[in-house]
Amino acid sequence: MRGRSRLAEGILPFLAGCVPILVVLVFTGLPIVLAVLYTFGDTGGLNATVAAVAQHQVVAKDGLTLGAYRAFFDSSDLRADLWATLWITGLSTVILVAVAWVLALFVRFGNRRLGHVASTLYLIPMFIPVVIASYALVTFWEANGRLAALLNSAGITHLGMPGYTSLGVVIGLVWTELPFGVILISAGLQSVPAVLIDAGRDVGASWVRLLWQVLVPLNKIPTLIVLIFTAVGALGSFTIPDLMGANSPQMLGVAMTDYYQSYGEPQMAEVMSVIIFLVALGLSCIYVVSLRSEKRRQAMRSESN
Amino acid sequence: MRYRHATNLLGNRLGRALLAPLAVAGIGLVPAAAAPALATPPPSEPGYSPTAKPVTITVETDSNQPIEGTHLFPYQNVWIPAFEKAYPNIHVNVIMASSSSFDSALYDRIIAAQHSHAAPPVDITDSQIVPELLLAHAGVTVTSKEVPNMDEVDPNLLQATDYMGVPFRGSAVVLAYNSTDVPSPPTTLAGLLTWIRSHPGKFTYNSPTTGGAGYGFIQAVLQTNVPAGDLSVFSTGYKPSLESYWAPGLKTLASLKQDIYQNGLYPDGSAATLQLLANSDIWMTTTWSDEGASAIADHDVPSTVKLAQISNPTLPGSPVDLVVLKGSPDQQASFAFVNYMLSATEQSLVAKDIQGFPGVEWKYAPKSVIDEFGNAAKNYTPYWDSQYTNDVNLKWQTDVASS
Repeated sequence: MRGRSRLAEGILPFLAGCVPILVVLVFTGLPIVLAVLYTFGDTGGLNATVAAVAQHQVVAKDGLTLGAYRAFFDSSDLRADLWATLWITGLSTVILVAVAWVLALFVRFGNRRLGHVASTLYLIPMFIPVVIASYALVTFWEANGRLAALLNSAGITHLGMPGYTSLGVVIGLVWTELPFGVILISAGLQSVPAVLIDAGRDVGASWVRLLWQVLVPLNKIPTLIVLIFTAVGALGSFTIPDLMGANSPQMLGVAMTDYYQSYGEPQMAEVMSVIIFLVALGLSCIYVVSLRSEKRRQAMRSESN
Repeated sequence: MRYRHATNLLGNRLGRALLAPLAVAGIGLVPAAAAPALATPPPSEPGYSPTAKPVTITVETDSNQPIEGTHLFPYQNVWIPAFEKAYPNIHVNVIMASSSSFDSALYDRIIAAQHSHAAPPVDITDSQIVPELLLAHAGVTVTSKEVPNMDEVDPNLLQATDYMGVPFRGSAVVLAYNSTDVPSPPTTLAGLLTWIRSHPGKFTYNSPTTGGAGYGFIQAVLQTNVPAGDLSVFSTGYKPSLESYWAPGLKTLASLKQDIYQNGLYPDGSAATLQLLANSDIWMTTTWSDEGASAIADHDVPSTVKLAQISNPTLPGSPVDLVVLKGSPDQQASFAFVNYMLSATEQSLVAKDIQGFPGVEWKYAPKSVIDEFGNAAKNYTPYWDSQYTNDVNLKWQTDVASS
């Protein structure tokens, strides 16, 4: 009797939990392992099919080789693409967090009626499909788009338009990720007890000081989540840089699609995805480590109380 | 659109179900002497006697768009009715591929049927699986004995398919220009390059990965430095060492960048370049002959926009081939169909319905077709093989776009 209940309590849920894990292992894990092996020049076994149709691939004579990675870093074009990916990701993430903070502060502490309007407006990007939004943005901003026409009629010409540039990609990424950022940060701000803010004000703390010493420290975790998740999303983004970006440099998400589909070089495409994966892995490590240390700090604080 | 398509199919099927018994009864009742009067196929018709028993053949195609401005599909509603009128005892079924996965599944079934020596699921195809079918030698080799009108087709195009595919239509990359801005367009590639340099910002082409119209211009420029003797390799094989001949062309394209629209903005796709032409942001671009012709016909671009082919070299194009599959029964009927698609009747319909170039050489094309395409009605260079086009795309990205 006891045995059966233990079975029901322990092993059955475990088996049930195994199903999705097995699915992930077989349908995602195995292809990832194969793809990583392929980037190291392993063209045998299950990689034989992709290798048979690939052009210009590095094949390991015996064992594995770093040749494909060397080819990536030898190409000035791909180095420029990697650099563009990194700075576009960094800049769009920083701008997004800043804008999200400003909006969240306004919704929490600003004019109540306008705050309501703002909290509806910032949700809009969530309900517009990315393809449509990026196409609309880029046609608005392109050199012969509406914005240029408006500026032109005001006598402002020769102003660089962000359509089809990396800067345009930054704006597009901020636009689409904004709802996520504002929702998380304003949720964090709402949970800051009004007592704390009033107490701070009573002792004469300035707004800047309140922000820096009360609001920001209490919202570290939501801000961190927004930072990391936006950055990881931007790193691997495809639709926005594909529709809004320049012909060159390209973000790696676009370049890898071209290498895979248009240049017949799946190996280089997979090298790029491994590199993006490593950068994203680094970011997630920062996330996990700082989350843990923050939790520990909170635990210590509650203990000392 | 999808709904309309479904009702259309249903309508056809219903009509056929109602008419078929009548037709059979009719044939039974008509006296033998009257039969030849019913069917008077053209004299060039290959070995298909009007008294032969009625047969049905199946054609598969991935052309699944209705004729611009109508609800009619080219094969079902126009081309095949014309054929069935000339050959009343051959009935043609059409299967329209709805997606590329349909095509690749069909390819697998065709190859499987061949391995088991069974009849293939369709008798004729013109869809995107043709190149693969040719590689697998799944097509019947045809000669002008079976398809007499093949004599009018460019032998180079037939050779490229090992005589398994018969090009019955095609399209080529051509120049599209606004004749109010460009009264006398360049006629050669060298002339075009000079024109671009002397009119900075008034020309662009789409990036090669986003469409063949931009790619076609690049291929023509790269081709200029390839020795004539090596040129055929590019459309029949793959020798990477020959790509060293591209270097001067890539330099030319890179140096052209400053004179391209917006100092080097290459739009995504030829629809975008046509848009720029329509707005007069640019005065000239490259486009597909059928895309350009239908844009003019639909007034998507001003009526002053004209198409022209250049020479030395010409911009490339590609034919659409009909392939009769090995193991299909009633091959005589299939040959009769292929032959009829090359006839003046069908070639005029192809030009009218889908702005397609003729499959026969221009000198044999109906006059109305030649008139329709005007300066664009010239032979085209074959498109290079996919391994070369892959390398062209990559080299353009590294040497031109990021220069």
